[in-house]
Amino acid sequence: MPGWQQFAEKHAGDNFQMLSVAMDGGGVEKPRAFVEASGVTFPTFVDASGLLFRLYGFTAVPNGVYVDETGIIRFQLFTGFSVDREDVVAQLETLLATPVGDIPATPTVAQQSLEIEVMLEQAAAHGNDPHMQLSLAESLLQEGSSEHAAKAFRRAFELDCESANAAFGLGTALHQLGQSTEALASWRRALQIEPDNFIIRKQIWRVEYPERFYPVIDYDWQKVKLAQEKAAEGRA
Amino acid sequence: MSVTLQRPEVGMEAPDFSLPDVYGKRWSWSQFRGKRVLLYMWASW
Repeated sequence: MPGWQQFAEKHAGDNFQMLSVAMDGGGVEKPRAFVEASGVTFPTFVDASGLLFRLYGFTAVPNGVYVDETGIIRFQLFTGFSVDREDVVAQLETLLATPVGDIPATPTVAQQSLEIEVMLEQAAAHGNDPHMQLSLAESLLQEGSSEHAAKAFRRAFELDCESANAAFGLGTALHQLGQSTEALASWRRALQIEPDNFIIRKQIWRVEYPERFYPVIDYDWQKVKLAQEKAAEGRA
Repeated sequence: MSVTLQRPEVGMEAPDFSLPDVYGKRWSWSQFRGKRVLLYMWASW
């Protein structure tokens, strides 16, 4: 935090606003003490319900999101975001020095692969933490790194075999890798753990009965199919 | 379940939200429109 205070002071003349959010479910006391002890002057919000976890789709901290003056996200890094990282600070300073019209619309390949590298380091460092593995696996999947994602999902599922998220994610990564049989098996495991999860069930159908989803989604068929499967599962 | 995660990407508009600060004062994201903002998310735990 003191490092970000220095950063904020350095860029006070750049139409720049530093904000921090404490992802603290336990209330304001601990983050307030932390803020007061560190002497920061920029606002610190408290997100007790994990709103930003849901909005931004991450499950671990520290994270950073840089947004330009028109409200467009120009940089984001989930886990491993630190003022001590020279590459991170350099990217932010480049953005702050660039007029908004001159910023490229999409991230560079270098930035994406950097994120994947950091995630793989984190995955290795937290090899026995199922939540960390799951969170990194989801991020890797979103970055398009299906092979690394499959590995991390598999590890998360080994560590927590009751995690439908891990089994479902593994299936999705395997499906992207073209391993459809293994993908379906993994989705079915996820569905066994959470039989009422309609997202998992529909994902299986989408692969097994593509004609029911394209060119139009056949909702009447889904209702009948769901009733049939539920009845069969009730008998099993 | 978090399987339908739709994470905002670089190049997309940042999502709006409203949160209290450590003193209980409520802020909304849209108040900072027109500024370059760095949102730093951390935890005391």
